[in-house]
Amino acid sequence: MSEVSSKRIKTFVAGPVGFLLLLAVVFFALDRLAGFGLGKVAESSQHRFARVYRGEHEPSILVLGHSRGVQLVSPEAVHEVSGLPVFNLSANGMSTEVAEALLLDYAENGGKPAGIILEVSSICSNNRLIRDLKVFANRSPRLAAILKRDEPMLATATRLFHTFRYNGDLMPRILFHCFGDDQAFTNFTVAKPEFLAETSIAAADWQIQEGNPAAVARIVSWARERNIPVRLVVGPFWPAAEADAKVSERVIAALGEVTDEKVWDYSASLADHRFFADHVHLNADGAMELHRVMLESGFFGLWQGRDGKGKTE
Amino acid sequence: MNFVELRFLIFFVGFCALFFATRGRVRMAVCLVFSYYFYACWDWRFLGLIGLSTVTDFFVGRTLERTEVPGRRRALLLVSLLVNLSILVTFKYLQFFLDSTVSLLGILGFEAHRATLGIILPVGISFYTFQTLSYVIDVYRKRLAAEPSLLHYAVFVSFFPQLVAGPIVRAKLFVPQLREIPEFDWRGARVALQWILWGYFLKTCVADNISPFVDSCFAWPGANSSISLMTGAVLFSFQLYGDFAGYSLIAIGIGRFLGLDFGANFRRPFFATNFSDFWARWHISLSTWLRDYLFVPLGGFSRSQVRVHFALIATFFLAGLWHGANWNYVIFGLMHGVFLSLQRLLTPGLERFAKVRKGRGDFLWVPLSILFVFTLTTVSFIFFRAADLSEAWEYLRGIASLEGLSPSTIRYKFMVAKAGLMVAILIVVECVQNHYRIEGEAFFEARPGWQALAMAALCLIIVLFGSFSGNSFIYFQF
Repeated sequence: MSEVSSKRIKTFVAGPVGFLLLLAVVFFALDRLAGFGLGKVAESSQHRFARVYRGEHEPSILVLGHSRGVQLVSPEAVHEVSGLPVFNLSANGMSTEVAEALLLDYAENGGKPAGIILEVSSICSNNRLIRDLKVFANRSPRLAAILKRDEPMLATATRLFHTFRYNGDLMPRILFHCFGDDQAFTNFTVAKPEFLAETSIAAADWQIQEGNPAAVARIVSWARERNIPVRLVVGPFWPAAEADAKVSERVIAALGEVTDEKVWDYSASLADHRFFADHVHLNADGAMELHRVMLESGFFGLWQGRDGKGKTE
Repeated sequence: MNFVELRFLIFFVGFCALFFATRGRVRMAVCLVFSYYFYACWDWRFLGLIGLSTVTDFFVGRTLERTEVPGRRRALLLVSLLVNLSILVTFKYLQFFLDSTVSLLGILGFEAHRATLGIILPVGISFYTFQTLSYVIDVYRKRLAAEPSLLHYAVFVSFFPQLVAGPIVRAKLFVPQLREIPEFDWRGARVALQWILWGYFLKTCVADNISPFVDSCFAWPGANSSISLMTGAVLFSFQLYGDFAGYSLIAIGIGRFLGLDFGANFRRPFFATNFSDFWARWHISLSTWLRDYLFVPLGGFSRSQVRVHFALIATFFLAGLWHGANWNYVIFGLMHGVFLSLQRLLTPGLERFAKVRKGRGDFLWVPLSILFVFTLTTVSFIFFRAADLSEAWEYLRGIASLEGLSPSTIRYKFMVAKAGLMVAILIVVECVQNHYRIEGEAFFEARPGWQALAMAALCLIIVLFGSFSGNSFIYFQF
């Protein structure tokens, strides 16, 4: 390149039009490049949501719910009684409406649910998780529709800036789980008794969100049509917290209006602080203890063999 | 309205269009109308307070200039101080003074009822009050000529970029600029855009990514392990810096874009090697204000060592109280007063020691000094962040208990990892600036191509990592 044309380019870039043009071109080039790369990383991750869209599945018992579903059951213990692996799709803040979209996407991508355990206090969660799930919105028309309806600005931004899809709390998890499965997550936190005694949860934070009870009803019908056993569960709460907020009572009443499926209410089944990570979340020991309670109540009957071991086809 | 809201962008584009299309008094009127509208978006009722403060100080300034009688001049100054401080005390400190009096009476064995006044704190009151006070005091000291135009003076008090959270601009620096705003300069505007972008990085990527974890640590210190609380405290230092320096940089950048210089407000404070160095880098517009209008009048440069130490402690006591009507802030301020006082006492010995260490080529001396200042500052910020003294003590007790030192006990690890990455980017950039003694603009001003590349990369980082949850700026509450 001659010295004159090089000088011309420099002068053009130094001016407002040239500078802003260069800025925009470089930015969008980087955006598309990074968006493509991050998409490939997301595809190859072992994270639960990435696995939904990759479509490598074996028949599993699917667990759906918000954060209370994450540590609701012990996968090893469930495998022992049912002979089936557990695929836990629960995530912090996941509403039932979002869970429904993920379930249908899972089935559409080759997933074969051998049963569904749905933690139904998630009907109190709003659709905020969709802000993170925009990572997969370009692969799921269902998620894209929820994003467009609930977060139109984010939906537009996601279309405009490809890297914006990966903005949020989900992408760091997806990156981390490139190196290992996220199904082994175990919460070892033990809530301090004084913490449980001095604080509580507010009923206002556990309001039933519009659209969620209907989504539960649709999940139940969908599963019945395919002969997939469904268990609707309310997991344990710290007793004083449940007494304050009365979540299970309201959840069961709301679901009673939309479905005839029984709700297995374990909300008051545990009362020892050693089983709780906080007022509303079990820890690993809590999940094991709940499993014992569930076994006693016949919760796993559908999947359990006569010897108490997993049924075989 | 907040700098990180989309409607601010629309507001700013509209403002720029009118600002650059007009000249002289019309341009000033545009500035005033937009500034008052900006403030009214918070609460239009408090516009009256800005108006009262503006009109009072304008006329006090004008009268001061025409008066040579010392007694009358003092009386005029007193009028201004009374009006401004009455507004400040009523809206910011009255409830605090009442509560403290009731508590004191309780300690002394008298029973008194606690009254709740329900006064709303007008946003930015501490900032514009200090701005107007400095103007009147400077005119009184004859260091500044009184501003003849009420319009220009009103713009100085209420100009929107720095109205609600500073920098506290001095009339001496700012008002002359309003008279001669230069033509739009693209080189300056490029630097301004770079500052604004870095400000947005500090706010959305650093401060707002840290905020949820810090909130969870302070909400219930007892439920967190020691290492979580330590991490929370360290991250809060960066959150506060990111939030406030971010705001300041956006404000200063907007000023520069328009051709106005607000001065610097932060200069890599966590590279400070002692506490006076820290305050020369942290909230510079406040620390210089305190130096000129409190520390010096209180005898800060006197020969009596006792007086100097008194001036230091008293200045930082008031600096703490300036931040908020809460004993936490008082303790925060007092801690820094004590740090500075101790530093002054120990300086001769420390300097000798430093010389010896440096002479031996001890490369650890500077990093250790930085770490020492950062650690004590972080402890003081625990008082700054906690809701009350008992929460601050509980937080410190939680750290000191050393229960749970394994990183696995940290909650929200992904949140911490993301925040840590943002802090790492910040530290690397500031290390480069600090090491090469260059400000980014000096390097990039001559290299627009590289500047465009760097800004594009920064935009990408903001898009990818920024938190756009609409968090307000911490310093708005002051």
